Amino acid sequence: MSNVFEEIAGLDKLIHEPARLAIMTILSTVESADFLALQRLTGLTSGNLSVHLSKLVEGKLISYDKKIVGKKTKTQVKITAKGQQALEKHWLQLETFRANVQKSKPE
Amino acid sequence: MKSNSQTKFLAENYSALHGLNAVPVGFALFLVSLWANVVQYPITNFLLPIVLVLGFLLLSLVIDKYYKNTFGEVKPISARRRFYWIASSIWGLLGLVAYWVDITLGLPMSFIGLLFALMFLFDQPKVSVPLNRFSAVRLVASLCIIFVSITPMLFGKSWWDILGVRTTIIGVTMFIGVLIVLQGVMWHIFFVKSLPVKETKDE
Repeated sequence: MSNVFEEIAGLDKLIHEPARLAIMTILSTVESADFLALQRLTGLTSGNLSVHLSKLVEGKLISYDKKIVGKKTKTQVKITAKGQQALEKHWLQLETFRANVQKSKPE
Repeated sequence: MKSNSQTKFLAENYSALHGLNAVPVGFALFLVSLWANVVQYPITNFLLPIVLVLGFLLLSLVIDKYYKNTFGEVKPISARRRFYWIASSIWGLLGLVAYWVDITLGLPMSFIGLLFALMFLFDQPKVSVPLNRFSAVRLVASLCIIFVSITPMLFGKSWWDILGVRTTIIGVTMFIGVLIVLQGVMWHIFFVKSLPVKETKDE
């Protein structure tokens, strides 16, 4: 059972947080999404979304592209290759963790 | 927050789920078919259908702007975009062939209708098993179009006369136009309801 706890401790907390996991999941299935679409797809407020995006950018898991269209600033967000790998690794870890918990269940 | 699979589905099909985009197409199809049903033959003046099509193109632009300003933009992966363009071209070619079959062979069924039924089944997001609410609407719409397309086989070629419709192809395209409008409105409602509830305040 101690292995299971080690596995939990070994999860990447930057991705594991539900809102950031949702953002990463969205970005892994598309080429890019703008700020408004991410807000609608996650249900986050603009403040919370900005904070989560900044953390993911700091971790180099996503990248920004800001453009001025008319009078508005348009932010296109993309997942990086590092982000894609980290997300795949995270899901694999979760699946392994789930399988180990199933195995260690008393009969 | 939605489940992982729901979030993926919404992100992958984001622009395809913008149902109101289909409304001008449905209206244009219905009204141009209605015009073809009442116009005196031989047709000498095409001004009305041209104005209708231009009007609905303008409406399409307004709807597109509404979606961009309210729901933002998601750019699908390039393979998906390529698939969309290839699929659209194939549907277009098949549409021309089906139209030619309908007007020249005079068979007791509408190939244009059957083609639209296939489109409702296989266009993105296609009907999936187990059915989700988007798939269910597509499946019901498809079965309705198949039924209307084969009505001349069931009730005779001239049954459309009872409804005051000149030909099967006009009747079928009018029906499909109405169905596209209804489906578009329903999809928009489903799409908006499928999005997660907005947070009310910052953490």
